[in-house]
Amino acid sequence: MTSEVSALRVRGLTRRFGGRVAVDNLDLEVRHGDLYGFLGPNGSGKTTAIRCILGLIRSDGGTIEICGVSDPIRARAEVGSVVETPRFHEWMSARANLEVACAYAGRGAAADVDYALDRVGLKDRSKEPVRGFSLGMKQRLGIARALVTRPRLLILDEPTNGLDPRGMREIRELLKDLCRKDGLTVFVSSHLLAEIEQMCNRVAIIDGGRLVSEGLVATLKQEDQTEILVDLGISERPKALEILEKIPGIRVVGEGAEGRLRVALTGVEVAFLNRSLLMGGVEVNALVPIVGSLEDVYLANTRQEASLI
Amino acid sequence: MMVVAELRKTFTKGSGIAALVVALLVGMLTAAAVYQVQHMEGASINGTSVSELVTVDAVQIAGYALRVRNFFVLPMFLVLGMASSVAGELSDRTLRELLVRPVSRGSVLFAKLTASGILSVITLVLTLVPAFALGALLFGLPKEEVSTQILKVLAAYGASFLADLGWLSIAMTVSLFIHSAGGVVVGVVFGLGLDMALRAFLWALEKIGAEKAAMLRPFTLTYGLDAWQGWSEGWEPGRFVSLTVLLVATLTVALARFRRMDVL
Repeated sequence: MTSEVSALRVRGLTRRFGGRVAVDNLDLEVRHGDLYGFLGPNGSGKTTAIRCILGLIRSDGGTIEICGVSDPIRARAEVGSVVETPRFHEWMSARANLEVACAYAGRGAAADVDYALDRVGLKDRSKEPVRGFSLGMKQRLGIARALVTRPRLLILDEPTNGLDPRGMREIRELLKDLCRKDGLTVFVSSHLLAEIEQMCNRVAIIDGGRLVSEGLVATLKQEDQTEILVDLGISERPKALEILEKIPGIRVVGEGAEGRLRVALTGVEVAFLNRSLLMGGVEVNALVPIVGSLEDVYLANTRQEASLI
Repeated sequence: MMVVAELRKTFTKGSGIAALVVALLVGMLTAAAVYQVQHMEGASINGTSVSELVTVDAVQIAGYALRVRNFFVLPMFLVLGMASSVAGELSDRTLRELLVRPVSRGSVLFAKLTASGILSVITLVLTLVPAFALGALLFGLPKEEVSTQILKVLAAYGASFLADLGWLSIAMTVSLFIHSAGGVVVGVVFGLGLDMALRAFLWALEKIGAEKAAMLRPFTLTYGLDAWQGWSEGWEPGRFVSLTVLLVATLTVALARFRRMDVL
């Protein structure tokens, strides 16, 4: 059975280690063209789920389809992956490592190796042994190895682990580029919220091996907000406070200098707030809704004791 | 393609290169050593000089070289090579990078075994050719039945290849349980020690009259692995049966283990 709309479809994935359930009945659906974030605290089951998807470890239940293919060996032809810190034959050159990967995939020509090395900016150093590479270069070479067989889906497990801010940014920009320009679907796990928020359009949050939230990043952030915070810049503060006190669903939560106010709206639209102030004779200089962050969604959905960076 | 990739790794790795060098040296040094013994000045036994007593030819030199090659050194290089290819790659996690490719685990093991088998063949050739060539140069060819003698020693090298496959399959199986190349070598040497102790025990039993102890010999590890020795002592089909059983059993265990194994 094929379901080509999905680059990755996981249903009821379960993996136990002894009595501990590491991945618990997990459902995921990654659409073609998504840059999909897989978010969760350390030990939440992200890496275990990815290893199951890639066939590195057995699952105790569930089904996995990649680009509509459920046979695990054929499905892996559609995937390029980086699991944690990529490992290489250190004595061999970057190019030779990629050629070994190509041989194992049964495909990939010199042109593909050139493309992959060029894509990650390592073409000039392709003949050097990997043992001399920095961690950042190895991460990029890992992505090149994932790209070398021209996959349709990239699965990356914590690709920015151990990198400095510049390196993290480079990887983030590369992934965005691969998604937008090369048309790849990217599934990336991380426990770094800001990272996922900055690059992904969809996100799944996993905790204790279970899916706790899933959807478009923008939608999740909106759904999380039971009240909307708005920063106001007004001409007459006393008059404004008088008007706002009379409207049910509006609460003043902070006052700043020079006619600045922060109000919380519950069941009240921002436009209504603006109209009420104008009709009451208060000039509104600024009206800025404060959108909640993915961090708010994450913290609301994961355990308090979970580690978070 | 996978076999080519494995060969590329094998022949750029220290243990692979060392195996080739040692194999080459064994062939050349054996011929040189026999020549040296034969030409020791003043050496005689009961008044007859050693050069008259020790009469060798190229075929015999090739046979001696095979003995030296198979006396622990080369099989251990092959074991080390296989251990680093499986246990080493499991521990440094490079094997994981192969298993995310669209290949079955059985084919990965097959590629590794084939590459190591090719290394074995090359080491055998590297021992045979210089030993035979130097032997022919220094001592000449056999006086009679030249082709029969050559075929006989070639059969010994062929049997030695089968024995190497036995060593490799043992190393591969142990590698899947002990994820450390050094640990595998130690494990194999330890197993070999136990096997020698068992053989000595069976031999002692035979000597004190327990003749049925001889029936247990085919169940010792090295009984099949020494099948190549038949070229000088007379071929024993039982040894080849034992070697085949060993190969089938170890490969079956390795395959079953690897298919079910979690690779981190």
